[in-house]
Amino acid sequence: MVKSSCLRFSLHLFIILGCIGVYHQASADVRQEENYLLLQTRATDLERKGELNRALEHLMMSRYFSSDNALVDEKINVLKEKIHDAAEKQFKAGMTYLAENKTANARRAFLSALFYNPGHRQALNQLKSLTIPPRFKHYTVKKGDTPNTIAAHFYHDETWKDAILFFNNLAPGAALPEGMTLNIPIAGREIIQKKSQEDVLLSKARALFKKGDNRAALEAADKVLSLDPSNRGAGELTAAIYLKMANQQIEEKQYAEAKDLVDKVPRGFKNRKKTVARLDAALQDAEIEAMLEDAWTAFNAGDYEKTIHILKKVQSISPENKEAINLFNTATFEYAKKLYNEEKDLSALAVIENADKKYKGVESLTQKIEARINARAQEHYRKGVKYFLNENLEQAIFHWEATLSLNPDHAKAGENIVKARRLLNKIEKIE
Amino acid sequence: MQSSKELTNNDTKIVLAETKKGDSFSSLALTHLNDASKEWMLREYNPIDRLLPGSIVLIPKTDYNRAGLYADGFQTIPVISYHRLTKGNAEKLVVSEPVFEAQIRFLRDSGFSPISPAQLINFLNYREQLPQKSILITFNGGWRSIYEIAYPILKKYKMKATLFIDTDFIGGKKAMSWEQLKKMADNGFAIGSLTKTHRDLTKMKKGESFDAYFNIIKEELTRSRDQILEKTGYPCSYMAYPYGKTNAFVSSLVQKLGFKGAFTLSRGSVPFYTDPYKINRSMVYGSFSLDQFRKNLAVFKRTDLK
Repeated sequence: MVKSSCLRFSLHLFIILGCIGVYHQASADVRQEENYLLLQTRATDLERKGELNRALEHLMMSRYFSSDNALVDEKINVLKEKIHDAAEKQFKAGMTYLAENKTANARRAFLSALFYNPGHRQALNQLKSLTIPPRFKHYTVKKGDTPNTIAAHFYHDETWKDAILFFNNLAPGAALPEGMTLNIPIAGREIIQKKSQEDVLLSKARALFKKGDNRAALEAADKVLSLDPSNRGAGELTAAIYLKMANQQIEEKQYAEAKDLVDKVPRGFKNRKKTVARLDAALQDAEIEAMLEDAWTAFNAGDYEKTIHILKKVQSISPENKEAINLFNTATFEYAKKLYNEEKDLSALAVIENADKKYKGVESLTQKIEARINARAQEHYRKGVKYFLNENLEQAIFHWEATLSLNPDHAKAGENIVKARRLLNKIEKIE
Repeated sequence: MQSSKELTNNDTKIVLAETKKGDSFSSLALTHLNDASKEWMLREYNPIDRLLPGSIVLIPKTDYNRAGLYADGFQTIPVISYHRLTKGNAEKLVVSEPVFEAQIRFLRDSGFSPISPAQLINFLNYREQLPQKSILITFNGGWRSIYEIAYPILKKYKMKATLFIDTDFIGGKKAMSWEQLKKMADNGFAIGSLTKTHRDLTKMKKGESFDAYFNIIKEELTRSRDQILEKTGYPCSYMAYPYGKTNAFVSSLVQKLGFKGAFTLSRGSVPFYTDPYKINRSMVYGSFSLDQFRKNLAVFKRTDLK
C-alpha cells in the first residue's frame, strides 16, 4: 500500500516537473523570439537614420536569437556591402574634389568615408592633411653644403643654422652627410628679416603687372619660379598674368590663344571660372555668327531649304537670336511662296506653318494656299459626284480620295467613299 | 546577463547584456567596462531612454566612434577660456563670481562632461572617443582669483579645468602661489604652460638677431615646462600661445620640444581633425550674457554624411 502510494506520488511529481520543464522551454523560446525582434527593429530604425554600422551591429547581435541564421546572414552581408561601397564611393569623391581644389566638399566626403568605415586610414590622412599645413620643406644635402650655406639659401641669414641643426637632431658643428634629407622649418615673413633675390624679383614682377606690361611681368615671375619652384607668390602672380592675357585675347577674338592661356591657370584660381565662362560664351557667339553667315549665303542663292536647316541649328543653341528669327521667317515665307507658285500647295502649307503668323505676308499667303487647296478639293469632289452618277464607281472613289488628301475634314467625301465601296462589293457579288 | 554573446565590427568589441532589477547604465558600465563614469558610452550607443529589467543592452567594450561622426554631422568640442575673476564688477577679461557660478551651473545642468587636455589631444589624434557633450574649461594666467573664486565653484559642481600659467608670474602679488597650484593639480586640474614671461612667440624684437630670438623662445617654453614639473610634480605636456598667437615656425618648435598640443585664442569648437598645435579656445568675456556664453558651446556640426 505504502509502496503503491509512493509510486503514485513519484508519477505525479514526474508529470508536474515535466510540465514545468515544457513551460520554461516555451517561455525561453518566446523570449528568444522577442529579443530577436527587438534587435531587428532597432537595426531597422538605425539603418533608416543612416547609422549603418550600429544597425549592422544590432543585426549581428540578433543572430544569437535567430532561428533562421541564413536569413540574418543574408541581411548582414547586404548591409556590410552597402557600408563598404558607400565608404569607397565617398573616398573617391573626396579625391576628385581634392583634384578640383574643392576642399570643403573634399573634407565632407572624407568625413563621410570615415563615418562608414572608421578604419579608413587614407580618408583619415587626407582629412588631416587638409587641416594641418606642412611645417617643413625637405632638402637633400649636396656636396659642399654646410648648415651656414643651407641657412643662407633658405632664410638669407646664416644665424638660422642652429635652428636647422635643432630641428634635425644634429649637434652643433656636426657634419652634414651628402644625400641626407633635412627638415627645413617653414617660417613666416615676420621672422625672416632679409629680403631674398626671389622677393626682389617678385616685387619687380608685381610692379610690371600693375603697369600693364604682362610679358615683362611674366618673365620676372618665371625667374622667381626658376629659383624657387614652390614660391607661392610667383605662382599666383603667373596665374593672374595668364588670366589677364586670356581676357585680352578674348576681346581680340583670338579664342584658340585665349584657351591656351586659360589652360595654364590652375583650376580653382580666383576668377578662372569667370574667364572660362566668358570664353565659352564668346566661342558660342562666334559659332552662331559663322552659321548666320552661311544662312545668308544660302538665302541669297535662293536655297531656302538649306537656310531654314542652318537657322534651326542656330535657334537650338540660341533661341532668342533676333537675326536668326527674322531670317528664318523671311526664308520660310519665300520658300512657301516658291512652292505655292510651283502649285505644291500641301508642301507650301507645311512650310508656312513654321513661320511666325505675325510676320509680314505670312497670314495672307497662308489664306491663299488654303483657299486654293480647298478649291482643288471641291473640284475633285464634284468630279467624283459626276463619275458616281455615271456609275463609274472606281473613278468616283479616286476623286473623293483626292478630296480627302487635300481636305481631310471633308465629311461628304468620306461618306461617299463608304457608299461607293459598298455598291462595288454588291456588284461584285451579283457578278 | 549573457556575456557569451559578443561580436566585433571595425575593431569595436560589443557584448550583449540583459538587465536585472536595479541595473542602471552606471552599474552596467562598472560591471562591463570597470568604470562607472563610462556610462555615457552605453547611453549614447543604445537607442533607448531608460532601462527596465529584462532590457537588452549592447555594451561597446571599446571606443566605437572615435571621431564622433554621425549620419547628420560630427562632434565638436568647445574649449572655453577664462582670464581673471572678481567679487566686484566685471570687466572685459574679468568675469564676476555670480556670473561664473551661473555659467558653471549651466554646464553641469546641461549635462556637459569636463575633459582634460590629454583626452582632447587623444580625440584629435583619433585615439579616444569622448562624450557627446564634452567641454574643456581653461584659464589663462595664474591669477589668484582662479584659486580663490573659480576653484571652490568648480569643486562645488564637480567640474575640472586646465590652467595655463606664465611661470615668472607665479608667486607675485596678484598671482597664485606654487602651493596653491600644486593643490589644484593634486585635485585633478591640469597645469599647462603659457611660457615663462608671456612673450609673443611670433615676433622678433627690434634689433634682435634670429639666433638670439630662437634661443629665447626655446627657453620660454622649456623653462616654464621644467618649472611646472619641478614645482607641482606633474609633467607639463600642453601649452597655450601667449595672446593666442602662433605661426608655422612656432608651432613646429612647440611640437619639436615634445608638447603634445597647443592652444590659440581663436573662437570656435574643435572637430577631431583639428591641428593639435592650433586648437581654438573661445575667451569668455565679463560682459557675456548666458545666451552669449551658450553660443560658444557648440558640440555638433550639422552636415549630411550619408
